Amino acid sequence: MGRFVVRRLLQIIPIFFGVTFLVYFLVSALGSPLDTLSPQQKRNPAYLEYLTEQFNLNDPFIVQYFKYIGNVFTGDLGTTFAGESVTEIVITRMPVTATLAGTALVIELVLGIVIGVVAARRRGKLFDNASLVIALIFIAIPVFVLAFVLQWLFGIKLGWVVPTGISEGWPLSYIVPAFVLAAGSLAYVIRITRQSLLETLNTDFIRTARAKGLPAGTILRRYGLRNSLIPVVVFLGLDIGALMTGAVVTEGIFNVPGIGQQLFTSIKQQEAVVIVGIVTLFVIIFQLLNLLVDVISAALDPRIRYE
Amino acid sequence: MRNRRRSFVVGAVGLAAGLLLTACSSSSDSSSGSDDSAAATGGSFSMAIEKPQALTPTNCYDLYCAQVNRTLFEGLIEFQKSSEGALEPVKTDLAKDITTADDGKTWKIEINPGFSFTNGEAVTAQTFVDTWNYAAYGDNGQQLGFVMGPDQLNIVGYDQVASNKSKKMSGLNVESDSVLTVELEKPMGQSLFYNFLGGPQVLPLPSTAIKDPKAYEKQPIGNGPYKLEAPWTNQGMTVVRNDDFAGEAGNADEIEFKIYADNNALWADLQANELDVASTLPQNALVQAESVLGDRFINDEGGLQYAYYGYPVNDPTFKEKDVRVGLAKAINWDEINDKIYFNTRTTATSFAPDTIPGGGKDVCGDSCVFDGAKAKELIDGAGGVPGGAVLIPQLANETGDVQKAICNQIQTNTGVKCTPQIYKDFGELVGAVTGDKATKGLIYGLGWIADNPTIQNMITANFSSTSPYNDLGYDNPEFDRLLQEGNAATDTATQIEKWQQAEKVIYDDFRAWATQFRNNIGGYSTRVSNVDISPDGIVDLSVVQVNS
Repeated sequence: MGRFVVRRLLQIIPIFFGVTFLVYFLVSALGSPLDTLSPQQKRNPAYLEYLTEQFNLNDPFIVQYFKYIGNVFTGDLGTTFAGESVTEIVITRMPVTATLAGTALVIELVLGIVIGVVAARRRGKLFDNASLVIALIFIAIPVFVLAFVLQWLFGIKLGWVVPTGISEGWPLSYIVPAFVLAAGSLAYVIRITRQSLLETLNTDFIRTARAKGLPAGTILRRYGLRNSLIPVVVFLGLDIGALMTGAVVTEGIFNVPGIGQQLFTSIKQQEAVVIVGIVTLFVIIFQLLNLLVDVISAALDPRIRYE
Repeated sequence: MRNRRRSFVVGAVGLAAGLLLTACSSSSDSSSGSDDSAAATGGSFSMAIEKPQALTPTNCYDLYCAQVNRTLFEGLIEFQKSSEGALEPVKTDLAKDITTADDGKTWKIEINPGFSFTNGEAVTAQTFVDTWNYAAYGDNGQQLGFVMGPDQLNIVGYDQVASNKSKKMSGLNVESDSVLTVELEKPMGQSLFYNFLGGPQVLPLPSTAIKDPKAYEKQPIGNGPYKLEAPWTNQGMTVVRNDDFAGEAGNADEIEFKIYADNNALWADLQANELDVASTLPQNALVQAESVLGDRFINDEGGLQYAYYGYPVNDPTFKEKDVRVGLAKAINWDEINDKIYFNTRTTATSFAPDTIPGGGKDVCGDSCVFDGAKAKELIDGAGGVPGGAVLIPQLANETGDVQKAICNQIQTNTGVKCTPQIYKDFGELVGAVTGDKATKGLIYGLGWIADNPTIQNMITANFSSTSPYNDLGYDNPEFDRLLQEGNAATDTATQIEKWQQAEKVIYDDFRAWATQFRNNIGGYSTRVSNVDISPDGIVDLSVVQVNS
């Protein structure tokens, strides 16, 4: 297990280089960031010269990339055009996105598993069918439609929460955007939990437990749930990555000053340095979460072993 | 793993990413007709902004930082509405006298004592000299340094400083604590000089700003009616009343600027009464804004921004003037403004709206009047459009509704084939008309946002033959001569007249025409009153009253 973890951690190194190179290449292919300025904004030759110098815009792509990577290893992730340091952007914005994604994850976890379990136990009944229909609706609705509807309903019509921003702090300001973020995945968690639990409850060892006369609650908690949660954990682990990147839309609509909002702005302005920094961070987080999912799966199911 | 595909909501960005150098609007003077010069009402309110690129005045290149800086700084010149409704530059409380003894070559600026930054440092003549030298120095990377250069103020010694050869412009000199002199390369009329002193780039900076710009940017220290008590963040900033301010104090005790990355979010907050003042609204809110906000919806004509179309000089497609006029007459701008912009734009007949001294005239005349039949007649009479087709540019972040409407009208009215052509960014669009591989048949179009309320500013950069930003390649010596004569005129009336004549030359050539002025759009909550957007897009926050 230890060797497995070390090997997986070492894999991050080539992935880091691959991703930074690829993203840097793609953003550079969009053209010079100076092209996004209107002619009116380009009136100061001295300033344009300063930017060109600062961001090595006259160098060929490959030289720009290696200069950038060189700086990264000295701990300098570069700056935006406006002079804001990328490190600082990540430090101030990452916690906001993490809070949002974390809240969404909790919603998925709690609501998803509870509804999934109840649906499984009342298989074929009204609750089961209703949860299926609602799950399908959540999967089908585009995120931004759900976002605007909930924002209008809770923020404007009912006035229970401030429609946008995080001025009211956690949880009040986060609950609606987090629910929007979670909605799509929530439906999957419900379905996966239900399906997996039903399968487990039909296995031989559960039947044995029943035959031995164990109380139904104990069977469900100790044998049924524990064994049927593995696919749910795998799904949720990978979903955190999707929650982080999915936050781009949600953060825009709810004006949450997180990392997704910054990514969107930077892509519009073709600021390679910022985009590479954020995307690389996403990829590394995704890698680590994957590793964590594998480790937890092994802990849940003794049959899973890594060499 | 399922594929998580999500669509982006892309708003119509249009001109929004422009710059605005004028940090003005009529301050709380009684001449503007409002009788609210009573005691400060106190209270606090919020205003929506986009995230400014920077707050430091010498780097302040967008409307949002200009708006915030209006509360944090006091400059030498501000703009007030004259009795005719045009913006005119007047001295602030800080400026005692700005005079010239030699017809505009050398200027003496005298400042009133008693003004200081909120860190206690006094605002002196030296402050201004240091700030302007700092702005101009190339390696300082200050975006607005060019204002000191040939484009605008044209201070002696600018080139040396911009190219990092010297740290001091030889034209700037300190006479005493309260007097500095500014020597210009060429004489300049008073009105123009005043106008150039009206922007944020000439606001005074304390010495800490120059010593440690990075730290300063986080929490700028100003000399204005309000001050920042904490560093600003991605969520915004709150300014509180500066009790030591020597000028006229603002009404509210506290103003919160909320940063919105997306206008739709701002609109949601405004409807919920959670946001008090907005000086912009998303495109898709325009259709319902009036019914939702009622009296609190602002839609003021006379914004200092125009959109224009023009015909690249080296494109033989547009060699015949009748073709150029015909294409212009084929487009019904009133209908586009009504149907697509919900009357938040105004059809233009000159390059300057009536909020600019000498603006608002019908310079274009018949050429800008929509007449489909006449359009076809003109084009057919000139033998048709060479190639038989024209292109209308569209930036990738625009929805394209307008371009489609224009093309439909051109095609229906004249039979000339018209298609929108998409460009990914400004660089690509400019490249399509300049350079050797220019696209044939492209009707070039962009916008202009005034740096200051003068006709000169509206027409110089786009049409002067010596301007590097003259993408059309327009070159008419008569135009250049009139423009220069206007710039050098010491008498304001003569000056405006010369500029108007220069403007007329463009329309006579009909190489380009202004299509629309953008109205100032906004709204406010039930919690505040006396909210007004100045023509330059800035709200005078010091007069806003918080309802008790």
